[in-house]
Amino acid sequence: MQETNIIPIHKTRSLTTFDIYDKLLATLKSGVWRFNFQTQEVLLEPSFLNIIGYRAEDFPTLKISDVIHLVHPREKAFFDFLTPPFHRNLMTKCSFEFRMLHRNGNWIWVENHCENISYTTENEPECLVGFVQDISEKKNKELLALKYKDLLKKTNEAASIGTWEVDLVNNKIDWSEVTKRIHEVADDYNPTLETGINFYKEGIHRTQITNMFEKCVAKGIGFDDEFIIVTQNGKEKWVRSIGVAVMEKGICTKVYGVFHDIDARIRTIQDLAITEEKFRKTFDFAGIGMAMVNMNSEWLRVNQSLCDMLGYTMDEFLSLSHQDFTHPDDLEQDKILLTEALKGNLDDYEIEKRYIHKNGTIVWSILTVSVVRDDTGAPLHLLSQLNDITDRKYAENKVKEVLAVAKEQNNRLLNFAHIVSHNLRSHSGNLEMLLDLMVTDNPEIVKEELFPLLKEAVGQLEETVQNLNKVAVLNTKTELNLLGLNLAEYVNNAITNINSFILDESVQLENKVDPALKVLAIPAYMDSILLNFFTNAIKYQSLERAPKIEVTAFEKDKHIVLSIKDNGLGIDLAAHGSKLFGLYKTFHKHQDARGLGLFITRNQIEAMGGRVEVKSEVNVGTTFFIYLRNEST
Amino acid sequence: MKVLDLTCIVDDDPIFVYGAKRMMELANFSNAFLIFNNGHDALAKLKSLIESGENLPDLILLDLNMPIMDGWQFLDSFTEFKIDKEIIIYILSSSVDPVDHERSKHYSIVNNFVVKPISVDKVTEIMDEIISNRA
Repeated sequence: MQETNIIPIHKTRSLTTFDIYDKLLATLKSGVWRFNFQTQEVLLEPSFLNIIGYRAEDFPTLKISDVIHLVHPREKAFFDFLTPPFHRNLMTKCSFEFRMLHRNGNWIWVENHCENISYTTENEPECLVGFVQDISEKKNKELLALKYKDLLKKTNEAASIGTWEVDLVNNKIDWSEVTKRIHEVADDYNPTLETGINFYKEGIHRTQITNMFEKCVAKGIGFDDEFIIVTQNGKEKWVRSIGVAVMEKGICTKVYGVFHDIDARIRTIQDLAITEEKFRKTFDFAGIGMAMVNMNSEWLRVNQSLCDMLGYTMDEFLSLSHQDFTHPDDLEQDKILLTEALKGNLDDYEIEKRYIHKNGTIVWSILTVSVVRDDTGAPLHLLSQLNDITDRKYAENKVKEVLAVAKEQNNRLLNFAHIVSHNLRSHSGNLEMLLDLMVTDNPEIVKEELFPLLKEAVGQLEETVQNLNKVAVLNTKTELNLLGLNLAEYVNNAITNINSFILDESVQLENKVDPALKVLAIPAYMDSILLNFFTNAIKYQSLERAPKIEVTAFEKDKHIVLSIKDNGLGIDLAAHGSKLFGLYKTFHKHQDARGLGLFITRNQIEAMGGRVEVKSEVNVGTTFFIYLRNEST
Repeated sequence: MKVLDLTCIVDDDPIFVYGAKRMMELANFSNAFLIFNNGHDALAKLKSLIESGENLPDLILLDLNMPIMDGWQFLDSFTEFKIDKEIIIYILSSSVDPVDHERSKHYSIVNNFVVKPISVDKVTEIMDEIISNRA
């Protein structure tokens, strides 16, 4: 019976045979196992157990399930064929690799070859012999290589490093994925030596790579340089190309190398260089004084403008300190701010300060100091800009002087106004009073030829003085109290006040002002303005038609515009426009024409923050537009 | 019978004083006049009158712009006096400056502000006003 075959061999084998056999297996790092399909018993020989770190006495099991328990889950399925139901067409031999758990907890890769060696009478598998070999070392190297390959690919992609190879024997060119991507060509692109070279920018770049490649092929000298290529899409890119020759018996058979996209880096460097150049030029040739000062208050760099500004040569300037130029009175404020800036508490500051020129004169300047920091925010140095404002300062003083003169003159004008207001009035008043007394004392005097003339002259003097007085008072008012006034009401009041006058002349005066409108004005001025325009409109009426005055108002921007339209004589604006509102300008040959009215009126309107405009046509009429401040804006 | 017994005129302008006096005489305004060329003189005399208990004026016509002591300064000092008699004060000035008019309203002892020149009509008006206030 085959029963005997499954009895453990080593119990029946002689000692000498066992020793040689096991030693051999140990050297090969191999082991033997047996299995009985019918009893599901397994036998791992010491050689096998040795591979997974066990001794025979430590591993008593004969159960297949206990052994499979040590197999890596991924490979457990390989052993399915050992357990029923058995496959009809069970192959007699099989080989596979699997992992087993070593006693020390590591996975051991083994290569397994096994064979059915006996069958039952029912033609079912009976006995199997297996041979395993420890292949961990080989397997780990393989996996590591795979891992490295993957890692390299990823690294290359991330760093935009591509590879290329030119096989000169078979005239074959190979570009890696990244190399193709740098050239902006499709993944299935097949370069030739010529097309590859032609990607290099025409001129020195292409000439250089051609020379280098030829030298590499001819003499085996490798290259490593930076070039510009023009990609498939026409984009210029900086690349680093490295080539290495493979020489066989003195002949170059292959050139391979790497291809690195360094465009961004080069451009950054170039941009930086341009920026630095720009800054240097700005600094050196700026019209304003500029200085770079380190955190110890020492000059790093100053420009010519700054030296010129203070009258020193560059060498003289650099031998002196900031304090040496500063006006003693301005040292303190600058020191406080500078200390703060040096400490890093202040990013920038601007002050007006005085410097002392080499010739001893004062140079006024606006000093702007900013702190330049590195990317971590630590202060590197200070950048000072000095703007010479000496001329402006002198101009400012000049303006102040002129202003003082103007103020003085204004004061004199106020005194003059006072003289007009008081003294002149006193005298004209006295004249009038004395005339009254003369009549009282001698009533007959009125019959004398000169008396009415004298009376009229005194009366006109009085009126003139009164008018002048109004102008004087108007111009000396500095503070005005504007009130919100209902415009329609004021127009009505003015109409009432001149009513008798109007009735005489049968004037049609229409107030069409919206009662909701309110203007910001001085009541007395408002009365005077309206009365003036209305009486003017009546005075200068056309003799050919009944006078008609229409008063309307509308809102415009921040103003309310009061429009007073008459159908009177009209004004020839081309001829009189410029002097319409002037002092003592009279343009109508009318008996009452005085001309002062409009002048005062305009001044009153302007004093209240308004203005007046006029539109007129001779013999058609005049419209005055009075802009007054709107209360609601 | 005249309206007032004693009228005081404080004004530095002799022509005005002459005219005013003449017109008041014509209008039977006052029995007697006290004339001063500035506030200082007026104040000094009035003070001595008060101290001696003599007759004080019924009316003071006060100019504003005067040398030595102007009308305002006079009013400031006069307000301090303690007088039993009620004295009517009129400011009589050439000033048409609204500031002066406004300022005069701050003195309760000032009854009115009359703008020069003065005329017989104006004198009559002042007279009527005083009479109606008395009634």
